[in-house]
Amino acid sequence: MEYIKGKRTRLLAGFVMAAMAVFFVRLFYIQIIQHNYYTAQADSEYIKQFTLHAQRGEIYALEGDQPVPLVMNETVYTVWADPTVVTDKQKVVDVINKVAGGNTQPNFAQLLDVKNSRYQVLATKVTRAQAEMIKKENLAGVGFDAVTQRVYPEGQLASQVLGFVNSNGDGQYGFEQYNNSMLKGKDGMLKTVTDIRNVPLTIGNDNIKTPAVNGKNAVLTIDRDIQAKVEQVLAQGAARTHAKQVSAIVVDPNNGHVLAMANMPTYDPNKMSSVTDISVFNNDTISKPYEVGSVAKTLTMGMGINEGVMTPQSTYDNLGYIVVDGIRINNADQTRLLGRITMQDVLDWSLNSGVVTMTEWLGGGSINLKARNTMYEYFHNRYHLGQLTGIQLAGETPGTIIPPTDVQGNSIRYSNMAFGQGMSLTMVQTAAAFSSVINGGTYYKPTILAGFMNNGTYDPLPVKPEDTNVISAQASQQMRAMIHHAHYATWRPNDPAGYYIGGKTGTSQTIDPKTGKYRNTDTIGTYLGFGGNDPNKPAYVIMTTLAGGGNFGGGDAKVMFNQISDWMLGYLKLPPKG
Amino acid sequence: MPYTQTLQFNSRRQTNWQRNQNTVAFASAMKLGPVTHTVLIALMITILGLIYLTQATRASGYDYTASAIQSKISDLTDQKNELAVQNARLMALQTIQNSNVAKAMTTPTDIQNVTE
Repeated sequence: MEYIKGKRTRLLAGFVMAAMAVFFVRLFYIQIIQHNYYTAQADSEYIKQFTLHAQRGEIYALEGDQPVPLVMNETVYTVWADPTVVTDKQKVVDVINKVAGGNTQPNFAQLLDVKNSRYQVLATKVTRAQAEMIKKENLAGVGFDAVTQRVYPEGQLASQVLGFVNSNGDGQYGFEQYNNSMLKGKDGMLKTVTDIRNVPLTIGNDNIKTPAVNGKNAVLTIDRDIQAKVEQVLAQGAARTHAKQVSAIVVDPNNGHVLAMANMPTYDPNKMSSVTDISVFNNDTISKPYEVGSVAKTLTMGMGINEGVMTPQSTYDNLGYIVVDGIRINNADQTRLLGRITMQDVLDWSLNSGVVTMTEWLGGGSINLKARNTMYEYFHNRYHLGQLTGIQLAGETPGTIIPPTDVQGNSIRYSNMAFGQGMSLTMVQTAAAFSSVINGGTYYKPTILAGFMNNGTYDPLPVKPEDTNVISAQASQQMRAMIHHAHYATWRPNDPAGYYIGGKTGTSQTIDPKTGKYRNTDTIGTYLGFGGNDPNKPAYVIMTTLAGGGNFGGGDAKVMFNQISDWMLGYLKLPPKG
Repeated sequence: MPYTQTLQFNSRRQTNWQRNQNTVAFASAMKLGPVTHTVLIALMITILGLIYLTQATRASGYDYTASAIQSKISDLTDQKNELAVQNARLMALQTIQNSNVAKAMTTPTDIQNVTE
């Protein structure tokens, strides 16, 4: 009996041990081998990961030396409803209509009847104050989504410079696109244990917090008042002349800062839905190269004086035309000032034969390879024409200057380039090159970025020249005098006394897309000049153009130049001298 | 309370080493059984557990306070931004030009420049 009793006990003990072994193996499998899997399962239940959104940098313009906001961020709310939860439909409709009547979706009351949906947008872009008022009503089934949007307090001002931000939060066009990564900043991350309401808790050892890095707040070189004046003048110019495209750029020749750049037509970024033609997003001053015409004669003559082949009093025999390699190049007016005339006359009356003759002097009497190489050295390498300037705006195009080694870079081409045809330049390139001719010979890379706002303080970027001695200071001084004379030669504007203003007209033919030949029925009018109260230190450079739908001459553009220039003298508080 | 006094005798060497120290020890006559020990240990574990839970809950309480403050900061930042936008809109050129003050302004007929 003792043996049998002991056997049963051992059997029971064995059974228990076997059961325990099964449990042990199973627990070993779950707790040791499957440890990572179950840990991950548990973590997914109570550890949440949040994105800490970086705030996009704001954009400021200047007013004098004070930054003023052009682009800001605002938190607005989308009001939505879950129709299956809404209990008092009429109250929801009344409250939304009363508080956010201008922001509601069309027929939003009917959306509350869509019972197979749990998310119906009732109103968008509701302000925080409006959202608070709606929240106070404790409407069942009504919720809010916060959205950050860009706001433009100045409306359409400088909109083509600024660009905009698309629905993905990325910059499009202009400054927003070119500087997207700088403005966007970097999102942060919070990985933490949370409670059931997603409140982050500090328990646990795996919490991670990487703070968001906000985008930089940029300050543009654009002066708000100058920009507004330029846009006003362009709108008036477009209305007066019926030109389809009107543009202007204002540059500080002493540091390359772009004080204003504008085009008409334009758009208001606060009313994007009303834009029907996306071409208004383009900033033609940087993206639309064209043959600038006779304003380029200032650049050609700057080269000639610096190379020592001409002075303002150098003379040649004007026939009203000139023949280069068998091709006759005419003056616009073939009967004007025939005979022996000076280079000052050439600039005053914009005579093509004169600058072509001067270009021949570079080669010792013909536009040979030496003359063309010299011209290319100045136009491309010193004036930085036909290439990107590097201005901090999206959409800049380089234009074209054909080198003398190219088959197309022959003497005919280079004779045309001497008076602004046969090459395509952007306005920003031309204004920057012109600045170097009249500022003493220093080329400043045109810039739109003046500095940054750091904790409410404006930190300007240092100014440094790109190239010095583009032309000599003496050559530059002579060019200022020549351009000043030319400004008053053809049409004496009623400029305020005591100021030193200069400028040059340009009327460029355009190529007929049907025939591929130049036409005289659709021309572009340009005026390029400077102004200030010190003959030795111009305070501003202004370039204006009109194009599209007719014959526009430099005189048409000069009207706009004068309007901006006269206003600038007062705005900059320049007292008259002399 | 009853107690027993026990006289301990130490070796001469030990006595020399511990000179001037008490050589009398008092021992309680009350003996604790295994059940009492178990109960006491369970009580201690319970108290320690309660202390741990109290501290853990207090830490979580701070988290809720921090979360509420963070939410307040966020709200105030939104309010500040909204006010900044309203201020910018009020100071916008278009707003100023359309103001009654600006509309009442006239162009000066004569300007004299002075040297500062």
